[in-house]
Amino acid sequence: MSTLAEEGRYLARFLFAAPLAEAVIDHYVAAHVHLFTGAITRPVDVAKIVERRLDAEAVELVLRRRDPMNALSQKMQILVYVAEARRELYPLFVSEHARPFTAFVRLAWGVVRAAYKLVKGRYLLSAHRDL
Amino acid sequence: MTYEVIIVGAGASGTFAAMQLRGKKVLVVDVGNTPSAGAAALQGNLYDLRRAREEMHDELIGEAYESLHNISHEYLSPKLKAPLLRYVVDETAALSPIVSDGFYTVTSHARGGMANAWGAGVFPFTDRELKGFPITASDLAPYYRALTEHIGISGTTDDLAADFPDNGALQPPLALSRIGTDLLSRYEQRRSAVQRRGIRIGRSRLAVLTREHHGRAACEYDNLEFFKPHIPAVYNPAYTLDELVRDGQIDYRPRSLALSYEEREDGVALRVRDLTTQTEHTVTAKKIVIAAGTLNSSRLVLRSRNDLSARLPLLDNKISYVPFLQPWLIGGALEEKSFATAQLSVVYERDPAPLFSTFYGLTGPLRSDYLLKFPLTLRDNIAAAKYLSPAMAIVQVFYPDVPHPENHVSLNAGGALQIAYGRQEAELIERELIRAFLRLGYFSHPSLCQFPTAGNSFHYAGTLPMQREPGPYQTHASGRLSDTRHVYIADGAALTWLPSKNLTFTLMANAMRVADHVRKDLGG
Repeated sequence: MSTLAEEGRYLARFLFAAPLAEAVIDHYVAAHVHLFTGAITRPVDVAKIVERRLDAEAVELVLRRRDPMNALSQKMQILVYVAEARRELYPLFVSEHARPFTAFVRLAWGVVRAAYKLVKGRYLLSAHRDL
Repeated sequence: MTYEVIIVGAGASGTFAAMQLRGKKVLVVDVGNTPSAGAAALQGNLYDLRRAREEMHDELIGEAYESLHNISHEYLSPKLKAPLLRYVVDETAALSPIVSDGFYTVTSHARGGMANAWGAGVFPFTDRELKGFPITASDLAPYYRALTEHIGISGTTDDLAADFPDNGALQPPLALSRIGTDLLSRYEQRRSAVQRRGIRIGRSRLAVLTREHHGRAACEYDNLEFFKPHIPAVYNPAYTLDELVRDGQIDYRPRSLALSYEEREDGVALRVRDLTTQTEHTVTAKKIVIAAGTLNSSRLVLRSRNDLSARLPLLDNKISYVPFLQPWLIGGALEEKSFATAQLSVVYERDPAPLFSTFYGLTGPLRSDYLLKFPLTLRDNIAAAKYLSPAMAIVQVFYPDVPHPENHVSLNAGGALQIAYGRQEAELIERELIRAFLRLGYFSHPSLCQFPTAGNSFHYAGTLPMQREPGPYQTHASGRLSDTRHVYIADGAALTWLPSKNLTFTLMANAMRVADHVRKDLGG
């Protein structure tokens, strides 16, 4: 069984290229106290995703298409929100210079990647029906 | 102490009723929540601050993770979930309980009311929008003019002139963001083609200063509108209330919750709970003006009559959000200096009155607020939000509402308001908008449109509507509640129907008009 902090660190690997500051992980843990009290969620066994080292990004994409309020999407979104308030991740969210060519290439790559992750996520969910 | 007038509530309506009654012995009873001390410390440009500070957690996310509200709860607008703006809705669940099934309610106990988080759109009602009301646009015109001078409104005369009657001198319009400028210039080049589809586009009239006015500074384009309360350039009724209190023109009693009133031969007695001491007491006056916000005003009236059987009609502007993408702006640089909310108004002509919508850029809100909507993986969505945000805009459409037997408010035995809202306006114009915007080079698809739960516009109205010959639970044109001699309704509860326009400016004007009737009934 992973702790929330380990879970946060594991999920963050699928969102950000570099490891997150521990302050972000602390916020991730603290946010659970406020957000998962009687909230509308589709239960997902995130602990099993972490234990089995599954591709959380792929699984999340498939789950989100079925139900945007599923627990895995919610947890990964916490990380995104908390990270957006950090200075070192500011360039990840905000385009400071005009780069239309880079933007089109990155978006095209994102579409190809999403297609691959969608297939992979479907496979993982069919192989791990107990999630 | 006996007052000449007690005003319940200090939102847009209560504040302007108080202003119009200054000189009389006026008491304003209000819960009056205000921003936290930390709010004033948020100074500067949003993006400069984000680059300068290691973390902006308290301002953008919140100690209690307020900004993450929409992850696991029903959608709340980005402004109302911002940590420094949460005072706008504080205490409402405890002090003003509402039970509803499928109708989202947001009320406010803030000093200045919901206008602490408004979009600052100024929309005077024309005779088309007042059709069916026992008053006309000429009845409101002097108050619109007085408000224009008092508040300071920016805008210009353009294709929307017919929808925004001349109510006095305007300040120059706000500088548009890049995407606002782009849309307007494309519209001007293809005006005829777009207008043939029944659509007109023009500058929004905003209660936002572009020049210093009555000691308030002009807009500094700091992109903080989604996070910071009491930005001086953006009008807030609390500014006027504070002036009235400071000048000794009214008595203001905050931390006071109005419970019920009793009409007597010579006036009214209002039972009030002091929220600091948790004690109850009674204040008396010759007249009472109820302006606690549509739902809380209805509760006060029903509770005062101890009526658990009455069903009052309820109106609400259904809303939709239509996202647009302008491909030529993809990958553009962030605009650090921008006004983060309304840019342009879009009008769709139809009978009996036009539909209004507002065009917003995305320079203000957190990317996290909308990146889950993109269809890629979350990692790729972060990149998409970065590169697409400069090219994206949202059009927020407001639909009108008329009374319907399935939509009503009642009081239950526990003192909670019970809301049933079974029917919404069916007409949808999103496809028409998408087709018209396509001619301007803006892309969208009907499947991308969002339709928040009923109640999400927070434009509640019509529970105690003004009528030419009012029946039970209706008001006279003067604002006086039928079957009473001293009780007046001065907020959205008195609207006969709800046009597509934002109602705040008209609530202010109508409250001033009702206050003049109160003054007259008091003997001048």
